[in-house]
Amino acid sequence: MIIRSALLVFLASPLLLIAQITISGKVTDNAGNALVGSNVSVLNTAYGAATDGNGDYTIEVPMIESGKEVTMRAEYIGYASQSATITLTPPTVTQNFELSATALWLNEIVVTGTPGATRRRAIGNSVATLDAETQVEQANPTDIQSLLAGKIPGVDVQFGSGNVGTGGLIRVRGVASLSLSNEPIVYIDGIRMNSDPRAGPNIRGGRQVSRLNDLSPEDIARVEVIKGPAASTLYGTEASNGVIQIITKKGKTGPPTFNLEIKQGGNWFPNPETRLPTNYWINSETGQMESDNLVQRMADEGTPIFTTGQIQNYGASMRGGYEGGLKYYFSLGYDNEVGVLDYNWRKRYRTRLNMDYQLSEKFGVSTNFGFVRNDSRLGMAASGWDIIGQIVWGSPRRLPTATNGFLRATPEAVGTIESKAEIDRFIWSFNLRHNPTSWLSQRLNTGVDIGIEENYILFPRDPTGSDFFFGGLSLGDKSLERRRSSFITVDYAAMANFNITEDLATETSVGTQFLEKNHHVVTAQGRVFPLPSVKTVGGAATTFGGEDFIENKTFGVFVQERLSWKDRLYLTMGVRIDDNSAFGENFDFVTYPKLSAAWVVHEEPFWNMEAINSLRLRAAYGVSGQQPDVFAAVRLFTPTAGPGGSSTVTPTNIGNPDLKPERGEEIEIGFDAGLVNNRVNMEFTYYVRQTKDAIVNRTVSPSSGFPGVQVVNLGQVDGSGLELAVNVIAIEKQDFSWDMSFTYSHSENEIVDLGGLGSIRVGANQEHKEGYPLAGYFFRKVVSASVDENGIATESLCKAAEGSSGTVPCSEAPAVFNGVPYPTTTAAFSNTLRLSKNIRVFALMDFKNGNHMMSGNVGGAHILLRNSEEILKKGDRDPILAALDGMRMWRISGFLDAGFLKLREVSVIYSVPDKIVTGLGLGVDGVQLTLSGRNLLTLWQAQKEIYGRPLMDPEMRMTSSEMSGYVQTVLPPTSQFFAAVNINF
Amino acid sequence: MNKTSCASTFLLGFTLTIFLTGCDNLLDVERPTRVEADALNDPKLAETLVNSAIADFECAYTNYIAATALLTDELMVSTEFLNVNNWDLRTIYPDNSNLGTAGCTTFGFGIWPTLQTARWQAEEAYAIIESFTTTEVPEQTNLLATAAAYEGYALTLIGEGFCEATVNVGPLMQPSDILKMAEERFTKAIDLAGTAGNNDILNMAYVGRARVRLDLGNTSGAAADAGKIPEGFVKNATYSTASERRENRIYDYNHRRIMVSVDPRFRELEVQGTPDPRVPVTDAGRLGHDGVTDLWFQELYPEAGSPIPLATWDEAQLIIAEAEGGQAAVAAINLLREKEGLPLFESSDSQEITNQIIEERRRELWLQSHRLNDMLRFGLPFDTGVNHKDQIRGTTTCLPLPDAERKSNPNIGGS
Repeated sequence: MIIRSALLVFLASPLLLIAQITISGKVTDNAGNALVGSNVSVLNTAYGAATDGNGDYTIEVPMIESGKEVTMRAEYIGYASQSATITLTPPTVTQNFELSATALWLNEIVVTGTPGATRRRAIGNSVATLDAETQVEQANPTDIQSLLAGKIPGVDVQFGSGNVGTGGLIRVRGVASLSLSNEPIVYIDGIRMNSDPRAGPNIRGGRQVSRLNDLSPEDIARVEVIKGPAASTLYGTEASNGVIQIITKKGKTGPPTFNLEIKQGGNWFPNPETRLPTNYWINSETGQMESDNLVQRMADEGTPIFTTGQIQNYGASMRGGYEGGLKYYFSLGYDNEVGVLDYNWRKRYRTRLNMDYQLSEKFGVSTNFGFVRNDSRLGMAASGWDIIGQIVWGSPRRLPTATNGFLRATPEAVGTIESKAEIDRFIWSFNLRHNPTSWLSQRLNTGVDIGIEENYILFPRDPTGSDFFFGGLSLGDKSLERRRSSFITVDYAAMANFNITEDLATETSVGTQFLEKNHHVVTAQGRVFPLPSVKTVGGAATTFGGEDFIENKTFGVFVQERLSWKDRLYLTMGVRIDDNSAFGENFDFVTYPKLSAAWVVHEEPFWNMEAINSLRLRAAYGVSGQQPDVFAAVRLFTPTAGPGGSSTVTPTNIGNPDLKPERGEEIEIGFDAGLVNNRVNMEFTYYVRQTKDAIVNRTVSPSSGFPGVQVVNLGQVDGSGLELAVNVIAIEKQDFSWDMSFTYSHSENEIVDLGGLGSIRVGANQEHKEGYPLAGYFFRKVVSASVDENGIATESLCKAAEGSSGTVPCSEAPAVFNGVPYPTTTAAFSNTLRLSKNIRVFALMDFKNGNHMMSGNVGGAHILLRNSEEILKKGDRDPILAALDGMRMWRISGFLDAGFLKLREVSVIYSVPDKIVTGLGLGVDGVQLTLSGRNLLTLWQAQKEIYGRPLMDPEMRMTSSEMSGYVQTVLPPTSQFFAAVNINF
Repeated sequence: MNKTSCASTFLLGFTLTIFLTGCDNLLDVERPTRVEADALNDPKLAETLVNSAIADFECAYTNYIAATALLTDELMVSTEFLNVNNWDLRTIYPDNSNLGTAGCTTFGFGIWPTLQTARWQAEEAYAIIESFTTTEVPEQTNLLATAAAYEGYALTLIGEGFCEATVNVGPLMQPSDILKMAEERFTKAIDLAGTAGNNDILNMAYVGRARVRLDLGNTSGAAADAGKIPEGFVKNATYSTASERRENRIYDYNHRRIMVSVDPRFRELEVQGTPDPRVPVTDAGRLGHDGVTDLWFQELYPEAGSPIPLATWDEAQLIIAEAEGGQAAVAAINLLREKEGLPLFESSDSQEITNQIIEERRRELWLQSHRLNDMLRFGLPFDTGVNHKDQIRGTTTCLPLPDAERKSNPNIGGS
């Protein structure tokens, strides 16, 4: 029925548009500059347009509307929206808008965390928005995580490494879960997408490819982030770590505009010869200490280990649309990025087609289709033979051998190992909008995200048949995984608006959501190839395979009621009820309530504080959940091969029929304020969060016969924090402006209850322990020691107890708390200077503190490989290091403060003057040249070395682990530079 | 109602209908790669249950041998990877997560959980099969005998290797308690295998019972059981390349990963100038994974599918030698030497004979799960001081009950 109606409207639409009233005008800023791409709309109708390259717009309204009085609104990001009431008088109406710059956007429309598009002013929780188009223009991020880093208070991107093709972790308001993921979930154009940060082949340190980074920033228009349970209730189970919504670029009314973009740049590794260590050895024949700086030596020999890898991005897009009809956005792109190892690269082929069609005044549909092929060869391949490990644990002792001083394989040999991550990914969403009456609207979002991955690690057969470097693997070995992942979303909501009185309005929303996720994984392994050219599993002498299927489904319904008083005081209450296939059979469903309020105080008649132009107070309480592992509730055995070719089963999961979701409860309060004619905007939020029914992986007594853990709802984790964002339009003149932005966030957490377990080991020297933050470092803290002539510590004294200044012999000392692996404080400061009408300069500094790291590169060198200068000094070695050596606390000899301040982004943007552009002909509307850099400088580093051994980069992290602060053999984040040309037609 | 209202109502009604009436079905999921526990309670799966117990035992067995070979003097480490290195350094303490939680194919050695899983699988298989009738399971006696024998061997390794232990989340037990349980299981297996006429399981159980009786000091009982074993009897734990779980772990760590090498005390052994074929090794002529240690290959298990002896006539002869001593021991030793074409042993000195029994066991049963038990039983010294890489050795002898058990078992103070 709907389709037939839509078809009729579609076919009839040309007839309806024959006679029209034309509304036109110009949108400028206070200085008279055209605001290109401003949205101008006729409120409460489907009519609207975007301004063209001259700031002009034209809207056609059917003649049937003649004589009506309508309200028009012009909006542009960074400017206060402006409304005007006009009467539709044929044949034309002219209405110009002059917008004032503002840092406060109370009327900005957001779509995340609400059933339908809602003005920010009505929402009781913090919603962060990021103008991705501007960010891409000024900083050239190559992936989504780079786009987000340092931009939103409380959103911490932990990059981890410079291994091109891999990604980092995202933490929103710190960490809150003992055992489950702390990653936010991600939606794209209203549907759930796979944002797994631990995809790809199982390289050293585990899987580290981020599915979020399959997307190209070039296709993103805006990103919205809601940060915790107070805001994410309507997303239900899985949403307690926050929700990121990616909104891709859409068509705009007007003739087609074309954009061509070419970027060239590079990845490089500054000063590797000092950031990577010199290795030492005491020659057993001469008794002399010998040293070898492998990086320097290889460079001197003309075979540098690290090179500058080229980055290339080519993109083309077209967007346009017809008034009241089809709007479209189409893009094509190719990205090719090479890392600092010449065999580490990523090639990304991408296309996107977004279309929106307003079928009638009441019906609208949009469809968004994106395809990407992301093909990477990773730089840090198999465990034991990665390049960093070969360098940091090498030794002059092995200079006479074929390893040439490296640990066990030369860079050339390591470079033969292929670690590939490939994906073909389709993301499609369909949105149906329907406004059957003036007071009722409904929408349906549905779509799929399908990814077909192929990951493998290949040791080609050594051409000479030698097994020198890789042992049996030198004869050829391939581990192959093919994975098909699909996420299916069906999300329906209906909203009804009523004006109960002139002042009191209500909006009632109901909705339902169904989400299905499944992963079908086929693995194969082949060992021993007959020839170097044979690289398929089928060509191996020995093969085995495996298959897995993982499926999860969620179904939820919600209802929400919003009351608004005079359009300045808002009260919202709602509830979502969820059931999930991962819940235990004894647990039926979960209920997540929410309550929030917002008050636009400065619009009250009594408001007379001139210093504060705008003020909105907000408060929100909400609950959302976190889903347990899909198999955790059921007692399960896994089929496996048995003796004589028989089929057998082995116990794998003890199950828990009472299992329910982890429950995040949060209260946040805050305000948004505009000062100095709204040129200074402050957003402040304080939140208190509790994770109840926290899921704990309780170790199953192995003597029960079942291995591993039982997943139980035992714990409670409390957290709190604050976020501050200050945006300042410091100077705004015709040829010069200066904008500043400062963000700050601090988060804390404490484990309140572990259900009687007391502590849970998270990793080496890390524990979840009641009364302490999540995943704290616990170890004996050496305070003082003496060392004898052989380098043996003789009087090692350690901290006697937590909070005590006393000491006891280390042999009697308890393990005490020594910090956490994640940053507790983050801040960013950016400046945008417009030096003339054509030149802008942008710089962003990124600060993190509170995080500590256990560097296996360093600790392993001191105490295990014993190739550091300090450990070889014997009698002269640092006494604390000697004490750690004696206690074999090797990881702790690499423990350090990993706080830093980096110059994260810097760019110069030059818009070629109009007269030159016009002279180019070919219909060119605008040309922009950009020079930019990323990670150019570390301005401050809390600790650069430990016992004489350098730390390559404080941002290194093994992202395959949720909480571990242990880091080894990770390529440090690279420095990048770009030159870009952007041409509009 | 007009068309638009009709459509709205339909959409809303459709979704509510799904929720109210079909929610349970909507959330049904498939688990085709897992088996729910209830599905195993089926007489048709009796043989599968026993094979499952054998598979878990064989995986645990090769893990146990590889790990304890490093802890003792059979193999030496040639990697810096801690999961392996700690065993050679004798730094296996209760908090060692591999010891307490690692799986059968996990890198490192999950000795405690894999042996416990093997034990429980056999026990559970026995209990389930016993609950069926012989009509439902015609091979019931045979299958019960097999399950009991493998449970006996899992208990044997737990009792021999660990300083203290427990089963089924029970109270703390001493090794002798565990070994007595093993003896009881072997006795059950002997009875059932005799009834079923399964000589393979019968002899395996006799060797197993002789072994634990020797451990428990019941030398006459041990000798009596060992004497029943026919010459040439070999019961192997089988391995293959069908899956990673089925592979011989000693081959894997030595030949493939080059992370372990043959300890110098087992290289190029001779008997009075004659190369000893019972300890086959080759010099790889290069360094191992750590770039420091000379790499030697053991050739007892030259392939990933090489079987490992579990119960043999050879072992039975050495049990007789130890149990009876004197010239009976000399005769038993020489029976084995004759088989290998080695010079014969002669002595009338009891201490010398005892020492030779230890030496013969060291060679004859190399990489067959006996060395740790022998070093503990005979009080042989473990390596101390620093290793060849200047790393300080620890103090592990018998394996400690891991924290993973102690902290999770309410009957021994855990929660």
